[in-house]
Amino acid sequence: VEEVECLAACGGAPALQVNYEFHERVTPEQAGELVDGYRTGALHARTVSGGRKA
Amino acid sequence: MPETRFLTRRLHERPDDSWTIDTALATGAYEGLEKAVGMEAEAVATEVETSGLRGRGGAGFPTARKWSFLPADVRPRYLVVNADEGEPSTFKDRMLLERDPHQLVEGIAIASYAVDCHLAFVYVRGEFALGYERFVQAIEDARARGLLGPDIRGSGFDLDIVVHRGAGAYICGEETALIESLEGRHGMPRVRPPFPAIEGLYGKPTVVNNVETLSALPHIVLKGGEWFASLGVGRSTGTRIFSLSGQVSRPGNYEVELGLPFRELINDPRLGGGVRDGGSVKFFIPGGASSQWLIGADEHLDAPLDMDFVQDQFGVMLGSGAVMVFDEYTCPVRVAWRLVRFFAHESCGKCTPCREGTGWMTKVLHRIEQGNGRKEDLDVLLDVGDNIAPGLNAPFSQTTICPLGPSAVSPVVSLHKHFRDEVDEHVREARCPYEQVRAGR
Repeated sequence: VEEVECLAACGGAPALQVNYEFHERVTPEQAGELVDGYRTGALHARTVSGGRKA
Repeated sequence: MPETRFLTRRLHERPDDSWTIDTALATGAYEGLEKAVGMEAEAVATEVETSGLRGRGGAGFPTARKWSFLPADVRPRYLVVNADEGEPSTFKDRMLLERDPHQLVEGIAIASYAVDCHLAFVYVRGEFALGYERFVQAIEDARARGLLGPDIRGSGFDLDIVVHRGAGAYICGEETALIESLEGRHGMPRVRPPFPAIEGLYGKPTVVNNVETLSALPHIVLKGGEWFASLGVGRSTGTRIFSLSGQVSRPGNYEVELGLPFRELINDPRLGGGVRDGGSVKFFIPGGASSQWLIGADEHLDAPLDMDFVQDQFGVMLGSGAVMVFDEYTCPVRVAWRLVRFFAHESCGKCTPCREGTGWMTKVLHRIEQGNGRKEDLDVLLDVGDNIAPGLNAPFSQTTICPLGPSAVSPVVSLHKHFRDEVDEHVREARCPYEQVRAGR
């Protein structure tokens, strides 16, 4: 877990990012549920590959 | 006053599918491009000049004038799109990228046509995975409809777009560092001159424009430069998307006509809805983390959202169009520390005053906030700041290549200007006076 200053999501603070999935307006309870969800595999976080597309 | 929606109309009216090609086409997308490619390129640029459109990335430089710096006889020319939005408290470009990518594709095509560019590069902030996916999809869909690629709509104009994902460095939002990064090197700013317009990407004449700037072009071409210039105030023409955040009831992106007073943006029930929990504005940052602060005094709250007015009257900038509001329970020293810590973290290290100075300022601010401050600390902060931005004025002179270092000085100067007494109180009482306030809430 890393604390960061900017996710370009101040309008949805408190915000968190899991891999490349954003979650906004997260309550402490929801944060716990998210962790559980990702742990059990019920939730899948967006991943992106590739740096340049022409 | 409610919002005045042009750039944000589609994404509000079609929240479920505004980013798809079918919805975009059904709601007027690419009509501006069709009109533009039927005009002379110079006429398109003239229309943009008439509009008075100024860059929405932060510096507010007139867009058409930026284009006019390209040397007449050098080809190829490149358009680089700055979608590396990373200024803390700014979140408008992410919305435009995710929710109206076709408007951006259209804007890129119009700008490219106007400046005779046939290959555009879009530098997308690495964290914007959803925006990246939707934008790449938009390019593919536009290409399939003949709106990108060779001979766009039978006009003889060719354009391809390369999308490049950044890797998370704030400095890559600075245009020359962005170009370095695009070329595959470390994201560190270049010394100017030569400016990108003369020698930019791969040594070629390059225009760097922001996402919101380009997203305005379809509307300017369709409705005319005169129409755009009739909106706004003075030399701040048109509408602008303000990212409103902090302790307001309704944080979010609001597209309003420039010239609206800060007070209305913050308080109007259709906009910010006022300070949360019935509080009042202690201070606010008018243009992103790099900007100096304003306070909750009538003189500041009644000031118009006008780039020139706030610069001339108060020496602050409207910057990236991000307004961060703080209520009376917020410790300004803590805010300054957090902001300067961000800049210290993001300093690329190329210039000594920034690399060393941002770290020192972070440490001194931290010790004041922690109750270990010394009497001379504010002077120490100003001295360090003066070594980065001599004179401590805005617009600043600077000892660094890019504006990151001087940006880190903004919170320090703001503390000095508005909250000297509170800094002294931290030092005198050897603690943060807001600790109890926070605990008692």
